Amino acid sequence: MSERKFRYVGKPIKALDQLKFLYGRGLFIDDFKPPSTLPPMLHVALVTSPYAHARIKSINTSEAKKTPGVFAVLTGEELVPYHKAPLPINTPQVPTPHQYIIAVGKVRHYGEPVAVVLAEDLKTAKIAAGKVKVEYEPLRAVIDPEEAIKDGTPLLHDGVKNNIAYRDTFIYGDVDKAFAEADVVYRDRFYYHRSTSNPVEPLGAVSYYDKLTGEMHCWSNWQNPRYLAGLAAAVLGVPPARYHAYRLDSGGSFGAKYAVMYTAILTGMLSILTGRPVKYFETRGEYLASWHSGGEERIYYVEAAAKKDGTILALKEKIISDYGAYMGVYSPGQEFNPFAQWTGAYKIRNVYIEVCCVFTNKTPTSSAQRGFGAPQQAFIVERVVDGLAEMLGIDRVEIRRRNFIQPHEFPYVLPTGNIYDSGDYPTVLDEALKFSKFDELKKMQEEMRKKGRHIGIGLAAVPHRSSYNIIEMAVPNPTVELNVSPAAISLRVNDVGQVVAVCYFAQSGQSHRTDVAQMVADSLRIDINDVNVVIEDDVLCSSYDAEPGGSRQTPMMDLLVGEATKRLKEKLIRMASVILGWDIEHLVYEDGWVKATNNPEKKISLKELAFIANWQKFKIPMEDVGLEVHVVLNSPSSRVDPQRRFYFYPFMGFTVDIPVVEVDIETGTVKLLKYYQVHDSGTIINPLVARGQIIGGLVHGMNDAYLGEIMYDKDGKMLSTNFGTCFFPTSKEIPEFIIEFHETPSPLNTFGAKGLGESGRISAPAAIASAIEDALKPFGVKIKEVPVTPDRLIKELLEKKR
Amino acid sequence: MKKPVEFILNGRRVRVEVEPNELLLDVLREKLGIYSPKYACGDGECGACVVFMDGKAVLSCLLLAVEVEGREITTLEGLDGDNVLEKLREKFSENHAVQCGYCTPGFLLASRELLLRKLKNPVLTRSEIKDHLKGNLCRCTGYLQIVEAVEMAFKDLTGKEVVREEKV
Amino acid sequence: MLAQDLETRVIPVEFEYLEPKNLPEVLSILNKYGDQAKLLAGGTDLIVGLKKGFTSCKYIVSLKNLTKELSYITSESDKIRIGALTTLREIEDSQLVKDKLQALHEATKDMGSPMIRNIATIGGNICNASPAADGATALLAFDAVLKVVSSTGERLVPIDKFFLGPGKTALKPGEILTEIQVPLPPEGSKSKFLSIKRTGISVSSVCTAVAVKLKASKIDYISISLGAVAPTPVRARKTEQYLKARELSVTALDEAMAILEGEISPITDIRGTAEWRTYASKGLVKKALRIIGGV
Repeated sequence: MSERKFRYVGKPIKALDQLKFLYGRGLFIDDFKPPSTLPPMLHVALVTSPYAHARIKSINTSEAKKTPGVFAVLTGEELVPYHKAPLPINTPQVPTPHQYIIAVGKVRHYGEPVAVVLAEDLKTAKIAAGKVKVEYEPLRAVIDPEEAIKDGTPLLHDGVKNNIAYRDTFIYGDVDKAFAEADVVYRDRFYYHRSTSNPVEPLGAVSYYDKLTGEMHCWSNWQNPRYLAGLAAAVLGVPPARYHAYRLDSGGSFGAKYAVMYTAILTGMLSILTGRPVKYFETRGEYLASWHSGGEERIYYVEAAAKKDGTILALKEKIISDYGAYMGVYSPGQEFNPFAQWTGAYKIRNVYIEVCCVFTNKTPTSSAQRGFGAPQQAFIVERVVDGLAEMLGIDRVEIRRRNFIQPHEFPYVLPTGNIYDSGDYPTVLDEALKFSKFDELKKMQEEMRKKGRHIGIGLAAVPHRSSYNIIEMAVPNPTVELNVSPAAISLRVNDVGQVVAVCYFAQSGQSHRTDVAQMVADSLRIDINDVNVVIEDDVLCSSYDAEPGGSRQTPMMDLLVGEATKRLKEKLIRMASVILGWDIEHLVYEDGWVKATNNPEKKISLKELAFIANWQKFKIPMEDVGLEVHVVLNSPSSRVDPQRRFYFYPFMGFTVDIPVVEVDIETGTVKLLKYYQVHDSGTIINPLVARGQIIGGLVHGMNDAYLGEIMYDKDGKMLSTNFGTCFFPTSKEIPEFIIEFHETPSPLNTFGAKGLGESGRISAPAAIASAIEDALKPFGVKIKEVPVTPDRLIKELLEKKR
Repeated sequence: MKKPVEFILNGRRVRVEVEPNELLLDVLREKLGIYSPKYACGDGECGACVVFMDGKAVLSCLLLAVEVEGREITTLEGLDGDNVLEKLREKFSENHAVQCGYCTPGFLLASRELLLRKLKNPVLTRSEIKDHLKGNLCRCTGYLQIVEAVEMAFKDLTGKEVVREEKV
Repeated sequence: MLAQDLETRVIPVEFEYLEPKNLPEVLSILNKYGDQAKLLAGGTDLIVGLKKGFTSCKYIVSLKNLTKELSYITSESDKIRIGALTTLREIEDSQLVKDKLQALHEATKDMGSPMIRNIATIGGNICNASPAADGATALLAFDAVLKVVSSTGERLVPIDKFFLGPGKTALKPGEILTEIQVPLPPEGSKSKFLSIKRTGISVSSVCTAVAVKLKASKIDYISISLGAVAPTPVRARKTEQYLKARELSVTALDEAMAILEGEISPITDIRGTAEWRTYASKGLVKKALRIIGGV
């Protein structure tokens, strides 16, 4: 849309999605009660393994079964017949025994469930779980991914040599030639430790299998039930057309509830078995340990080739990715997701990527996590750029300018294939330097250094891809062509001219009822109070929307609303043409009216047309009956070409982040003082909502950068089993986030909105690492491992001092 | 082994039969129709289960139901019309301090306690707000818009601005 | 057997709940049931322990009826008495403690969260005997004395004899802590508490409480205690000895820290490595002393 005088888009409209939560009236899975006419619900407790790697010798459930109130106690073995298909994993070349929902024969990570208890109430189930006697034969636990791939290390899965689940190499351009022509080569090893989404609400589900109709009803807080329902149905043997997946309010997801459907499968299986509704709501500890949680523990061996003037010619990366004990349905998608922005904001044409996905005796990391591989790659790229800047004696701002994709070069095709739609990197960088008063910050830093205080100013220029597309899942399965991730919307105009927009996706705090209303109201030029956005809550009644993930929903709904309102306007014009008896070519839709361009007397309002369409259908030809449109549109780009170039994240945002930190070298603690960001995600539909999302993401990134990680002891016992031991950020850690928007609209949709939900976690680790390194510049400490915990920082400092 | 417990819940007297090992959080949610306090961590770190007991914000997931005999328990459901709470609601909404809503009741109650403490002598800094709210965890908002909402509520209630020192 | 520490939703053990009306009744229950009975004060440690399987018992003995009796902060000419059931919040809000025992005020106001402090008691915190306990570290710097009562009488235990190891105290069967007596530090002295907490609600990775009185710019009185760097909170007596009568200068501090290193025995755990704790303790103590000394 070229016109920029919007009434609602771009304004900080108060979100109505959130009002009920201010009264405690959300309906979350733990609040949910199945319809009262169903049999009484059963509650599930898990019996979890205290060993990271062990053979299950025996399980004695007799005492547990005798506990009053216990309905059943089932081992993994006993649940095997209820798997009508194996649990979906996306690496078919991995010859693992099928992973069952509850462990059979062997446990491979701390907290893995080995049996389940069903009881009339939760407490009874948990007390009985403590009475289940399991005999284990502990095996040596494999914790370090680089150890895991060595010959002679115990195998987690029979037949999976060296514990390598998946291996692949991608070469784009002429990497060898680039290195031969280079003036300098930068080499280093980086370690990005695992963290987890940790939504405040854990996962849970209630399932009820209706034997009479063969229908499964499952209520859960899933992020994308549209995809997960089909997969769950397959495992349960329920035809997908009979699997009702209901969307409830969800207490945050950030990917944790995206690729994970174990609550649905477990409760579904147990409901089939018992004929009663079954509920499982995990504890915080089970969220962290028992299923699939967290992401992307990666070791990178990086080489970068550059010319003397700072032009970066090639980037070579060998990556070891720790997936924990099992692959899952979205593994190893995390490896390919960052291909969407592999080379960041820079014109690096020659790329070598070697991925090695490894099994270790830790919780599987195949859930998605905000950023899904992009934060790690952004961290690597920015560290490389800073490393080269130092090697060549070039200012870090200057080297970025020299390598930036220039404004006239958009749409820009990456060597890995993705196409950046639009951007203006040099301007955003200039704005950020100006807005943060970069030179004054540097002066302040100098003054503080004289006083013995170590302030660091970080700089990161990081794009963020948006509108996730499933094709990255096709990479390990090249015979399966997957290229679809659409969104859908229905618009219905009622008899008084109000528009009901029906959306078909789950939400976990994104406020889409509001931004979609803003877009619909502005597209039709009607009052926003005449628009109501509702969410269809049963996947079976839903249209094909791939649901939120990969920052996709806003740009996709932008696309959808534009197309749907366009078709609606066409209908209105066709109707008006008949009623007014006027040529279609001379009719336009404008501000709630259809008007004749060549006769000011000839016009009819949307409200009148709406009344006729609903109550006087005889006045219009049959095919135009009903002012309804329904649109399903695929994402603007989605394919992998034969050279394995991925076109799949069409909307590219960009930020320049300038965090200011203070490092206390006497204790190793880092304090984040201020965080400046100039943020370009194209047209911002709702700046108030956008700011909340951005800051939320930045705090996720803060966590990865210096606060916390998921830790294990040397025997694989998980140590991070609650919020405190994950070092979950609190309000005390946050700095002042100062965010300014710059808008380079996307040419691909109606208003030009790009997605931004993940942007914070993608840019903050790189930016904060850069700030810490800047603070420690006098000591020559390089940040190569995140999070930069106090002990890592001091260890590096002391090593440099020697 | 069940014991009767009687207490005041949101202004009305209630009586429930509970086992000694039942937590107040679960009794409120399962037997008394109160859903605003929630389970998120179960070990006192996240503040999602906050309720007021005799005017003090406490964690209901760490309280045995039998311990609250004779006490006054107030939850978000019982604070409609409370002038501090209503002001916080207004500002949380205005400043988009709510995304998924799971932590919201906890933050509203914790913030209410802070503001009540400060009304008599209205001097408040941003640092104090951040400190007071450190026991309430949020993963969606990144806290800033919540802190700002509390500042806005303080200003409306007392006419004073919150001091945002944060000097280096 | 299972990974019990993953459980935080319910208490998966059954117990009887007892509500003694006064101290003699509490003591008689303790005598009768011994270690089958656990005292319930604020519950913020006990309830978590019961959920995660770190503790278990047949009887929970509620101290709720003793609150009036055992919850006070009073001053005498030479000491401050704090009842064992005084909440951390009451200590935080006490002007008396803020004026006379700054380190204790600073330690308590940062412990846990306001919700925890509203109900957690100083007695419960001390008897939990965490090596990282902030409050205990501050009390150790002040040479607090603990009054312990049993049905046969009472005794006073200096706090540095009270902690025997992580989770272990010098309480004998049938005994209950009723009061903490904190001798007033010398007139004109100042105290400070500092801690390193990875995030706002974390248990301290390292903490320290120091108290100093200067006389003509020389150290006349000094007390240094540290938490989370040994099996119990510890006093760095040799370091104190070294600094006594010296000037509080940067050089003196640097020299003293070499001695401090020998007085602590930190471990590597989830909150940090032993090497880092040693390094950070020195940094933290120096910082605390510099702040007090105005150096």
